[in-house]
Amino acid sequence: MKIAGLLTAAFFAVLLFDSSTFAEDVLLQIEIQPALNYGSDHSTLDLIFPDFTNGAVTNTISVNYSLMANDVGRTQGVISGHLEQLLPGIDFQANVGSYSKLSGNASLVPAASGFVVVTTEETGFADKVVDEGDGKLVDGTLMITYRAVITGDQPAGQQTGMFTVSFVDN
Amino acid sequence: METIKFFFNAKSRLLSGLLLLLLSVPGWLYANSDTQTLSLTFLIEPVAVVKISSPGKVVRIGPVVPGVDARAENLQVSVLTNTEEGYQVFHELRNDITSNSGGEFPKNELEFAVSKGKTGGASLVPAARPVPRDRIPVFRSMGGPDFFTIQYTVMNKKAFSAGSYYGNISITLENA
Repeated sequence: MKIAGLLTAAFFAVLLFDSSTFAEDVLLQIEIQPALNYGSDHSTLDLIFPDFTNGAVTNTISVNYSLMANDVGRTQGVISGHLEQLLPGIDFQANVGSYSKLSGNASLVPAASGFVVVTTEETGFADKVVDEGDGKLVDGTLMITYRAVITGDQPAGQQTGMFTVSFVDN
Repeated sequence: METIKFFFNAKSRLLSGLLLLLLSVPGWLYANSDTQTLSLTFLIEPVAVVKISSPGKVVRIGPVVPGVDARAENLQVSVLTNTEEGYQVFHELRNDITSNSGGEFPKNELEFAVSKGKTGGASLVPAARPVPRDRIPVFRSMGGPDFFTIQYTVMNKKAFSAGSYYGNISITLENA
């Protein structure tokens, strides 16, 4: 009779254990890859001097940059630019305008106010500010206005240079 | 209820070793037999159990490239029951989906839909909709075992911060 009692107890123990598993917990994991997309509405800048004298200023051209990156850890110099080579007697200048946020949890602000001279050294145009959360998601547009100023008398003619703008996340 | 009879002959083994001795003893000590009957009762309780068939009980979605395409993953759910009692299966997102760095996965960007059961159960979420935090019924059966699939989809319409996001889902079964 003892054996029968033990068997019965074990059987009910199994039943009780099994019937308690009417709930299941599941772990949900979502993996988002780092991404960076960047574009502009201009591929060339045609700047025309009204005359060749020192201090003459060209027309201005505003370029809109569309920016989307989801892993922006960097805070300074998120947008930067440099010239491939200096233009003798000419200052190439950039003025970072307003940032229009489309989504995300961070924004861009100008690294300096007004026009700054662009050289062959990497020049920071815009920095990141965290709006909320981890602040790594930048999604918006940024306008930068360009112009050139004569710093020494120039002969008539055309000069061509290469200018690079970078969007860096880390 | 079933009754099983066991026959014990405990004395026969002992007596076989003493056979020679017993040859010379009176007849009332010769081998005899005894019978005992044990009554065993098997009680099968009514049980309804929900089981996750997906390996590791994990739903892994991704890697998702922001802005490129939606990604989906299925969760296989089985209901094992020995009754014909109706039941419902409930779904609950037990916490916000967050990354290790504290970023929260955008609400409404994770959707789910539930298939109908292979043996007749009905889906209560037949079309994709955002996964709610609340505990809601997602599947109903009039009774009997069944099998269905929950499909989770990252819609990928918005930009997400890079990283791994985690959440906890609870699947529960309740008799109707």
